Amino acid sequence: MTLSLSQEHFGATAKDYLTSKPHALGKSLERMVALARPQPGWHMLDVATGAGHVAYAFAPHVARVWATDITDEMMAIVREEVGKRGLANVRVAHAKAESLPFEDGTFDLVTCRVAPHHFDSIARFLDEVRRVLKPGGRFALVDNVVPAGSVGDFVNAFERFRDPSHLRAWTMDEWRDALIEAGLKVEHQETIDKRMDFASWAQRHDATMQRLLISMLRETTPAVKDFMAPKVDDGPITFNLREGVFLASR
Amino acid sequence: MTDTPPAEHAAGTQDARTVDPKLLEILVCPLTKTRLEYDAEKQELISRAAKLAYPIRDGIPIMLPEEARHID
Repeated sequence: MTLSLSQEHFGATAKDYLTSKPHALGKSLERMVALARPQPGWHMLDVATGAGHVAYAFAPHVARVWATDITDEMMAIVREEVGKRGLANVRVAHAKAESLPFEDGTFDLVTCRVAPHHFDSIARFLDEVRRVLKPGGRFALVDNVVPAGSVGDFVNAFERFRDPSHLRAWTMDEWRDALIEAGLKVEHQETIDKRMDFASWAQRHDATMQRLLISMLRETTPAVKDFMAPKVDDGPITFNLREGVFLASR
Repeated sequence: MTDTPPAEHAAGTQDARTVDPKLLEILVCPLTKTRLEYDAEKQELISRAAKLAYPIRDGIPIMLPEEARHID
């Protein structure tokens, strides 16, 4: 089997995502639960579940969670974790976000967090989300977002140097337009800035690539510095990334 | 829906590595969106429409066409 870039990246780093602070504890995870207001009878689907953090957060509040991903190692981790955490209502399946193996109108809620910037086609993914949602069903989405124009181009290039499976983070406007285009109604949108710790963010690379990434942060234009607020020269290197949070409904 | 968690549902007849067939009813072929037949012996989900058999490995359905077996 030929692995996609995403399968390669997440296969090699699967365990890191279980303990990664931005993934496990990010504020956007709490916001998703607060905005989606899950109900005990609900059936939900978490697309590109990764290490399963969204599935674990929602499982106690709903009847059933299906969690899908394309990476073997991630699915194995999720299976192990749901056992450890005693979450008997979580089921996992391998599936591509753009080609979901569920019947039309199956779910009360679909979630997807910090994943679409790896997808081949976000438009096809959103068509699938709409298809598998029940009428009135909700879609809670979080993904990295960037400003329009060259600042956004820079942030995407910076991310792609670290992880080639990062394709492109969208702007909030692009997301809003795409959700509407897919026939979903945008109920709420907000952004959350997250402070990133360079050492853990870039840990898969050795000094050669880390130096390139650090120099990008140091040498960049004032407009990028306004957005990323990089701290490079004194103590641990940190910078900002932004997450977009959307609640939409079918 | 009154959906029993699979741990109780299995009533000791299934280990954690096999799939509760009831749970599979929700799955369709990712290509044709048509119903699947469950082959318990081979641990496969068969899409007649796509002529593909999707494997179930360690109880996890692999709903990726590139991982599926072609059937006649």
